Amino acid sequence: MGTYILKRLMIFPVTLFGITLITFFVMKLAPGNPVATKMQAAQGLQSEALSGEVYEQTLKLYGLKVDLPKSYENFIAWSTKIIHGRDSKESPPFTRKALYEIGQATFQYITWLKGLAQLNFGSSLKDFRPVWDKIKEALPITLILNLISLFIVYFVSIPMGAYSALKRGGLWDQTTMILMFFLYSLPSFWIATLLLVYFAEGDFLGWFPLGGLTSDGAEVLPWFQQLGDFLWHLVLPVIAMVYGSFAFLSRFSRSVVLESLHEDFVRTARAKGLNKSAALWKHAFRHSLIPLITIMGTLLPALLGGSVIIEQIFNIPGMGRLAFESVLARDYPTIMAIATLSAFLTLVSLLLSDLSYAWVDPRVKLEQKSL
Amino acid sequence: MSLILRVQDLKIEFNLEQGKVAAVDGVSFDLHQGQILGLVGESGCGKSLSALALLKLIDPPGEITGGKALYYGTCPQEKNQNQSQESKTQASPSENKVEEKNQEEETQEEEIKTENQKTSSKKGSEDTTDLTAALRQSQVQPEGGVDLLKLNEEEIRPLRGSRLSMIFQEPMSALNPVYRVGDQIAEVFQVHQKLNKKEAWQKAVYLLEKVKLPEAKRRAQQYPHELSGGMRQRVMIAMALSLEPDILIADEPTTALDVTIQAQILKLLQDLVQDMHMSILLITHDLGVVRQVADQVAVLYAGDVIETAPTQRLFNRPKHPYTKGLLKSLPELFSPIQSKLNTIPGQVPSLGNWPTGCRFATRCPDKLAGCQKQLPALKYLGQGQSLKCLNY
Repeated sequence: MGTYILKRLMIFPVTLFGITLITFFVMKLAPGNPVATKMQAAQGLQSEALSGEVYEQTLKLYGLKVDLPKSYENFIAWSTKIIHGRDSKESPPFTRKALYEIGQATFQYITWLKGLAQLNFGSSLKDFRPVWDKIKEALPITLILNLISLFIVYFVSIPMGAYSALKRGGLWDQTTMILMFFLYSLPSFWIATLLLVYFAEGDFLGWFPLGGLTSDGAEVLPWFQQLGDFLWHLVLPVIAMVYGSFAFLSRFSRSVVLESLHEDFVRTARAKGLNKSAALWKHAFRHSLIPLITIMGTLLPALLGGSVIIEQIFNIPGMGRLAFESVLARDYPTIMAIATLSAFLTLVSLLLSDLSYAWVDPRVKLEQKSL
Repeated sequence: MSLILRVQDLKIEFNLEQGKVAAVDGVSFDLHQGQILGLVGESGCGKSLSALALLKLIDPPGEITGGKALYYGTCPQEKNQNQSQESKTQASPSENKVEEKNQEEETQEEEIKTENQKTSSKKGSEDTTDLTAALRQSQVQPEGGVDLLKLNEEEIRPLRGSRLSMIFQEPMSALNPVYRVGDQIAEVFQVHQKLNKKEAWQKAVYLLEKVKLPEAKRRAQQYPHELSGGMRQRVMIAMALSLEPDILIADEPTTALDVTIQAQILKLLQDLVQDMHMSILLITHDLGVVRQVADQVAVLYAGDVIETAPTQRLFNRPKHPYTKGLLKSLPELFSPIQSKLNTIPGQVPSLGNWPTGCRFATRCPDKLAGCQKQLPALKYLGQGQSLKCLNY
């Protein structure tokens, strides 16, 4: 076990490096950059024609334009000549432009890695606040949202699935099967909007707030009322987040339990003289826990991804909304920090789920498993 | 030899969409104390179902719809008393033989055993009361004995694993992969005798030694996947024997094992029958195994016992055309290499498509005019041989 964990931990930075590398270059492929976005916002549409010089300078200021080393410039010129047979600087051919962009991006990536090594994510290009500060504000909110969702998903859907497995083909099983299939196929942004329309302060049922996490002036309330206020704000977003995984997991646990119920060892247990419920709980359910625990690790990343849309719709200042806004603003440092952090969380949860697999299933020997 | 189990006209049906379909109809056999009865038949003829029916472990859509299974077993209380007397008499000579170190261990174990027996006689009363409750509820049949098929879940549960226990064909899937084998054996004691974990564990280790599992103490700590097929089957046997049952139902116990291990397991079963004076219902499709270990054989065809005879007699003088065909189809050691194996023409009728009358009639070489009109009655031929065939 120890060696396995050590191996996994050693491979951890490599995986993380790969993820950040790909993210960085994919991000750079997206058209536009923060300077252009800002100038457009400030001046309207004629921006680029008017202030080409300002634009170039700002790019440099933001570290988005770096002087490439002489040798690399020579390499670009040489390869352009080889491919296109000419070396015109006025209208640069495609190869020249591409190599130049790649060089720029690589340089920026190396600078970013240097910062990361010192746990410095840089500062946001949008409002020049340190990225880490922005994340510190947003991360706990998203984590709370996700953990509550995960908790609800597990504690409601597994017993539900197990129950329909026991009463297979019964009324409960068939109605939930249809309902869950229905729920699973509905897009979450649509459900979220419907929830807002029907249950938030609107024309219909005004049971829940429209968005955000706290009511105005909630800071002066005693702590338990603050907590209640907070939970009240969380109801709709959590519903919007869980119903999909809920449907998935309850169906999954149904099939897993159903499979375990027909295992030979359940019959053995009854032949030993255990009563029906003891045979089910001690033998069948214990066995079906194996796949259920293992998918927990894959459920967390899915929820994190899902919360981007939900947080945006419910105006929750979490990681999801931060990510969404950063992408729109081409706020490269923030995007990178969020991607790195989500990748890190995902890797950790996958590692935990692998370890839990060995913990619940004695047949799994982690030492022998090849990486 | 006293009768311990008499099964009469057992009928099991499945509730399927097309209606009720019989899978077993007319199974009858007698099992005597200290005897091994081989239940032979092709796959799908209802061997395993009949066995599961005795423990009432048939799950829906299957259902027992007729027949009797009269059990003339000892009451758990009597059994406990016998047990303690036996162990006392056994203990004295064995202690003299062994060396000092072993002796200490041995005596410790003896202490544990006697302690356990005390607790079991105190706490084991749960089983007894349940059985007597069953008896009180007029489940005693006019022929004597308790009809297992009439017991409800609460009445038969104390008998399972204690008076009638079962070992299964594939020990890998019959053992729970997520529990240590010791725990799985100990569970029997925890359920029936309400022993605590430690006591039950010690008993489990003792049982593993009894079924000659090498390094029983260490093996008990292991999980099923860490043992070989033969060891797993020994674990299953240990589990089934834990409370010294009257009847051990062995459902193809050696099918999943290779031939050398098969021989060891069969030897073990035979020894246990002698030591514990237990009866075994051996279910198999392997005529070689039956010939080797069984005292009495019952041949099943399409959910019915068509012929019963002592092993030697059945192999030497088969009477029923199906049994004859079956034995003819066995390859002989000295037959010419090129010769084809004998086969019975036709196929076993599938469930729900049984012909009226004798179910073998369509394939029978000695068919008579009346064969397909009604099912022939069981006829006793003498010397323990009986069959269902109009030719006799």
